[in-house]
Amino acid sequence: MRRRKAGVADEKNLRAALAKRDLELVSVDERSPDGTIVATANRLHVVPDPDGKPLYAPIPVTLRIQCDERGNVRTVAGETPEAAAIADAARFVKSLADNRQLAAGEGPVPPGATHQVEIDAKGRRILRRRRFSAL
Amino acid sequence: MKKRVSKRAAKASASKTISTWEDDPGSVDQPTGGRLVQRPAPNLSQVPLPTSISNPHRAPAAKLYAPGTPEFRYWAAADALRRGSDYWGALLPGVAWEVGARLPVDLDHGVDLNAYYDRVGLRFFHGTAGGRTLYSGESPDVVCHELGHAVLDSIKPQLWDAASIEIAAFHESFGDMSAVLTALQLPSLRQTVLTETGGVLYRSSRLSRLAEQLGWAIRQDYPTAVDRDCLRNAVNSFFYRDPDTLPSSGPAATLSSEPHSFSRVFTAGFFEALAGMLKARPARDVANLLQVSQDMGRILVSAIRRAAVVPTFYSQVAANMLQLADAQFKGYRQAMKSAFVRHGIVSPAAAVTIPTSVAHARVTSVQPRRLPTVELSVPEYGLGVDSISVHAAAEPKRFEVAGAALAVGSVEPPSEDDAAKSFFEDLMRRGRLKVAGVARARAAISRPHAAETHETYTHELRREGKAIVLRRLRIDCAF
Repeated sequence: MRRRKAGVADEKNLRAALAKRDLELVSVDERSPDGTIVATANRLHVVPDPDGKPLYAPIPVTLRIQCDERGNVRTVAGETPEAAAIADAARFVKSLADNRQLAAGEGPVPPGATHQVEIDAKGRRILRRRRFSAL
Repeated sequence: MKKRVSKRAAKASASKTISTWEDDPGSVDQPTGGRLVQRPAPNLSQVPLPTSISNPHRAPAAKLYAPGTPEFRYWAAADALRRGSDYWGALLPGVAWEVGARLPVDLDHGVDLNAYYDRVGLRFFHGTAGGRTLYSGESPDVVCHELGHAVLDSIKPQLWDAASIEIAAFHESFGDMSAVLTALQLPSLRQTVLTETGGVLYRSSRLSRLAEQLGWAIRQDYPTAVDRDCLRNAVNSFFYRDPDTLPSSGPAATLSSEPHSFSRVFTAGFFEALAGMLKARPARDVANLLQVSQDMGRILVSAIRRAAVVPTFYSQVAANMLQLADAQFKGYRQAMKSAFVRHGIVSPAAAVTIPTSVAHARVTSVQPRRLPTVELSVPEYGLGVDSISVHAAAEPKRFEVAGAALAVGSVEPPSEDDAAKSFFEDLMRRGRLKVAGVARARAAISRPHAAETHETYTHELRREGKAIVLRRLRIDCAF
């Protein structure tokens, strides 16, 4: 068996490299022999929160990642979501709040809620889906 | 705790028969009246897409039980889970659950009139309404809706966290589409719905009415929160709107940007497409309905996989579906195009550009009669003509007024040309324009519920001299 290449050829390392850029890797969609990786990720972007505090919402982006010979990330293209996607995320948060689908605090998600705010290692408030519901 | 199912037990249950609801315990606006059917006892641990009921921990003996008993509820849920896994699994070879090898299912997670998929598994609940206790996991519609979330999460996990109204709504729509398509795998339901609708599938029916019993329960406390005859009806007249222009919530009779509410636009387009696809088949019978349900599932999952994850996700999926449709069966694309255009999911112009553009012929104008005419440029509709003449409401205005915008102030009044173009496109969207004879018939948008014994177009394109003119044929008051 061939040994795996070190660096971002390993998805775990790629995930960590992207996390430093506020990108959460969702899937690696394509790998080219020249070291280009096409991946789907979520960009954590600040949107207005009904509480008035900064809230980071995951916004889908498609990335083209160039790696060096050792497999480390050299450049990342496509990491900035379009303005329409950011506006959509802001409306989505408002819709969640208006419909009481955004639960305050930690612990079990109350009936009807689908999302919660999670505090990450940097102390940021991140919007997280917990489930889908039938109504 | 891991549940063990011995090979002997699995073999024994496979040879036995259980009783379940065809699609739901309720019927129309009542909590009861669902149709009972007998089915071979399912084996949940089998591939594809195995599931595992973790609560209750022990499976009751596989035999016929009376509705209202825990044993009946167990097998009703198990049969729906197996049917959903078999249906989607056949279309998605090699796909595994996002949560692991088996999808855990809790049939009574507590008190709630709801059900969830939460990346741990499926959770169903019990609740009381109108003096009656009901269980969401007893409804095959609800079970297959939740299973649909898990299936979509497996093939498009990036949708899970996406902060987007339309993407969240599409997930809900996929749940409802899963309930519809899985229900159609039952021979008895196919026969029932063909009889009930007279073969015109795009009519409110047992198939289009999703989760009647749960809808009834919610309606007892919140009369306007759900449709009047079920939780959500796939036959509806909602037309696509930019979610930004919609209120965040509202009664079920109106469209809001709340994902379950907004999901109804895509579901209606899908359901109307399904009806049109059946109409395109050689016969409207149970065999062709089964084939259509499987073709639709194949087209849907392929389109979803190809669709870009963008705020306008509906149109992305629909465009991909249109591209894929005729590869399954000639005639599907036209049916699908009509359905998506009629619900505003894609515009008529966009629909004809997928996947190719068309050549056009030039025409000239005609002399005006009572109203001034304007030349409308219409190459984008695939009619085979560059422009048409229409009689425009172009007389001088007496007052400079316009309708209210949803946000603030008035909408920008359209020019006469824009108003005429808007009117023309509206005719196309509603399937009221007869184009045959002077323009390409394949540009037409059809209505699945149009009468077959007589024409119901309100307008036609007519050749007058060298021009193609839009003429009214009749005024009607039908929907």
